[in-house]
Amino acid sequence: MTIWHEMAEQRLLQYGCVLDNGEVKHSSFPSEYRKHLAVARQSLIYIFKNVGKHVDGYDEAHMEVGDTHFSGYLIDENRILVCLCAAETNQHDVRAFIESNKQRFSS
Amino acid sequence: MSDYKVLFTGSVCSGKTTAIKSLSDIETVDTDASVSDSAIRRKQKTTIAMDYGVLDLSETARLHLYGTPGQERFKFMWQLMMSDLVHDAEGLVLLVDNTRNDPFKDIRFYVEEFRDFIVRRRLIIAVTHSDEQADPDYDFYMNELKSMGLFTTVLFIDARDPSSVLNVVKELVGLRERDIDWKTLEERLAVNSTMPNANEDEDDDSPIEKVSLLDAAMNTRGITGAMHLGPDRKVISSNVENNQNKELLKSMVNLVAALENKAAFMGHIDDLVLCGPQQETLSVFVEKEQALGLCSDKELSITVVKQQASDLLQWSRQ
Repeated sequence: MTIWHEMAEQRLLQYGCVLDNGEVKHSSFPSEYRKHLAVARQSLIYIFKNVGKHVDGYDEAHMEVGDTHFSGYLIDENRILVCLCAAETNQHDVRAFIESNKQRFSS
Repeated sequence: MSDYKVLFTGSVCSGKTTAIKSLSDIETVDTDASVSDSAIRRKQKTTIAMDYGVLDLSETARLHLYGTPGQERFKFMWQLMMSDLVHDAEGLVLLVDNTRNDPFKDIRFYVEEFRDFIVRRRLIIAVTHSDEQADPDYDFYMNELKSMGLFTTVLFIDARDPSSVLNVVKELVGLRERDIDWKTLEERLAVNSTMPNANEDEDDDSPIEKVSLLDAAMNTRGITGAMHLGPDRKVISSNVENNQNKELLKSMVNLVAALENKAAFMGHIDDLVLCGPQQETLSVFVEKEQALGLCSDKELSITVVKQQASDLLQWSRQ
């Protein structure tokens, strides 16, 4: 079972991927969601790049578009975990899962 | 004597207290307190614990009416009521304010919060304030609820009008209590009406002192700074003192504007939230006519910040 299946089973996300230096890696986004992923990728890269110019310490961004909820979690300075979730997803649980599985996202 | 119970819930200003007052034969028990948070822009008093009223349906049937507080910060009362006072209720009446930006967001929120409760009971969605905002209409509600997997009764009511609220009661107990004389009941409850001009001595419509959006935001739990932007995304007013936060909020609003076309196939970009373990949470909420940037305590959940921002923007438009 992949980490994406594991997270989906716990209702933490629908699809996910890791952006490594802006490049999509380890993605579970299906092809019909490539436009969604493109928006998430562009916005999250911009946010974390722009935030870094102003202040350190922000490692999580969330965006709600219609019924879609994107979250981006900074795993390290080069990697961002992108999650497409249901609006009612408990982000506290997502955060806790990422914290205890950080190593798996980095590998 | 058959005793029935019904629980009214819904967002702040959806009409819970008013609906119970419309139906009750007794002076209702309410636990109102002065509003000290974002709801201050809409009304002066809010329910902090619960409302209670009683309606004698016939000589052999009585209905107990309970209302939850609307504000999320009193939601410990929701659990308390569900597990104790109204654990044996006939049904849940979810009052939905039709003037809300997205009434279906409220429905999703309350259905999720009361999921275990409504699994075994009747749910009625009672749409209020449709005299101020006619859309979404009945058909739209039915279609949308169907797509959400909610097959339930939808009624459009005016919480101020007892005969209108009585339709909810008919829906709940009408089939089980066939001896109720609805006409007589309606006449008896007419004195409870708070419709304009119905009872001239009512003073519920006393003017509300205008409170600025920033003041209302600063009265809201966990909010430490606010920035109000106009349709051109220029800052109208702000009390965000930290310059870095100010710049970040502005760039977040700009990012949303830049992405709007690209993300249009998914819908409107509602909000963007930025969090960090040691940082204040920064969030922007964007509408066509205005935008709101908020700095808030990192302990405040994103859901709560969104609900508060939604209330602030909602009432800022009026």
